[in-house]
Amino acid sequence: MNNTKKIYVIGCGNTLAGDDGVGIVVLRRLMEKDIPDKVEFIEAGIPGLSLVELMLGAEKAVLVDSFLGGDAPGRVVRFSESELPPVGYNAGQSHGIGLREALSFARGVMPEGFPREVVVVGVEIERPERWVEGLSPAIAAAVDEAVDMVYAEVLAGA
Amino acid sequence: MASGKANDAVFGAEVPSAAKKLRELFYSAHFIHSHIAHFYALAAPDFVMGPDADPAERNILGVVGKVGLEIGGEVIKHRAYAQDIQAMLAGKATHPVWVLPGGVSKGLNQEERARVEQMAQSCVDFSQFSLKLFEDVVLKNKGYVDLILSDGYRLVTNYMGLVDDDNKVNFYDGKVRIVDPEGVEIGKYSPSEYLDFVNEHVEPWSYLKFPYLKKHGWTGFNEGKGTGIYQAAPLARLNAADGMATPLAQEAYEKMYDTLGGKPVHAILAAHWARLVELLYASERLLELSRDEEITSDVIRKIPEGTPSEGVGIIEAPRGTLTHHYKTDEKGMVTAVNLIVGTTNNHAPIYMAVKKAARAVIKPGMEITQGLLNMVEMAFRSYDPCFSCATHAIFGELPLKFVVYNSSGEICREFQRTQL
Repeated sequence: MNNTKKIYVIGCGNTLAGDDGVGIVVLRRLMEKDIPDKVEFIEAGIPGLSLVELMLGAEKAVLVDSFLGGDAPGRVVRFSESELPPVGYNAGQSHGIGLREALSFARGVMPEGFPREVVVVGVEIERPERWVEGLSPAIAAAVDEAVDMVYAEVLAGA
Repeated sequence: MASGKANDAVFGAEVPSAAKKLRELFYSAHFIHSHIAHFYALAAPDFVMGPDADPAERNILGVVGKVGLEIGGEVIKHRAYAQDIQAMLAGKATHPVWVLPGGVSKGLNQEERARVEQMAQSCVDFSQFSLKLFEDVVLKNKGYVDLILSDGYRLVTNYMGLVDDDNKVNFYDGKVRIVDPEGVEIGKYSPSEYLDFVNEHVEPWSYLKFPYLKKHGWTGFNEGKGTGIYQAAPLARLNAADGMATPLAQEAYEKMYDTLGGKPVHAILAAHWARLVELLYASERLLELSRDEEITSDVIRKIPEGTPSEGVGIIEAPRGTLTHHYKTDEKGMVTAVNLIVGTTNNHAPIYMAVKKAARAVIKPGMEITQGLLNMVEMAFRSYDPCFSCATHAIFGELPLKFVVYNSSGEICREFQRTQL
């Protein structure tokens, strides 16, 4: 990838799956702000190794994604890497390696290639939908907070 | 890519030669990206660490710990190359919007072409290294070879794959060729003819369909000559073709069949070997195309002028033949869609393979261990199935459930993968 930009903001999710697309919505809102030149924005609807490989060359990566928590849809949470849930390496098929494991692998084999810090800004959703565009009111109301949180992470890393 | 080709057909588009080559170049990079992940993250742990190794170590980290950390770096480097090539052409590697009816939206300049050539050469070298690793780790271990050739991992069906005019494997274009369990051609069709050859069976207990060959009809979950079941994945593609269209991959193809006793090979674990042969082919094809004089042409799209109606596009996805069929009104609004996704072709074979493996490794009175479970999963994993692609389900984990019956048909143990 083009490695001249050193902070990668990566939006995850599927905008055709309702609230699952909140990470992409946040990313697109951020792109409208005044952002330092060294920041690159990436839309990624992919998990595991492929997601981690997009971070190659970055000093810091901030991921924005939805998550299922069962508590309060619309809650915005910052996860450090160590707070990510372990998923496992071997989910049966090549789309199924967890982010935490993929990061661990990537750093293990290429210590200088991957960001020293990875932060995930998560927006809790009730469930992903199928073939639904747009966010539910509770999730749409959380977008500003998520944008601010990611923006603060970007400024802190710049 | 399949949807793009279906749209070419819907709009009656003629695709310029350079655009076809660019699409194939892009798609070769995609195959490299996918096949490297499967071999190193999913296949290699079973063989490098051993089928019954502790799951905490039976993973890609364990593999590189044993064969060398630098190999892990090479895995990432070459997958990143593949993504770089896709992003170079399509703006982004994932969910690209680049293939248009009648061509593509962006070509390659000389500087980009030179970068692709350099990366492609490196991919050829890494593919050859991967085949050597397979030879050293798997083929030189008699136990593994015996396992691959054992009855528990043998499934005798028809095979399907896209081939060029010389019946060589092609991922992007050509006709779909079908051979029977003895390797005899029993059908060959253009995309628009797919409904003459393939039908889809429905079972009440699954919302994923079961494709079968119309020639034989739905014969149930039965293998052998006369079955309607077919497979479509790396091993099936090689079984259905007469060879590979690039020299090094052809050598690897011949070695595989010479070693395994000739064509067709019914040993489903040999899919890992076939996948590496395909990895080498994709890398060589990428290199060839990067050196093609036409690849930097700016004639990359001819805007179609026909009235849209109906079209079928077929490519080989890493997990099997991928068919997209669209019907539209005269304004191009979609009125009907049918998709047969790579994994869908293998739906029935996957069930049959898992059942055979389970029967082979689980014996009466035997304690069910994590290692036995993994040996059943190995049958599943050989297809690299993506049920989320095939069903559009969103589970987030593999919800595999095992039910063990005793000889009287009573359930004696139930457990799920995540509970082990």
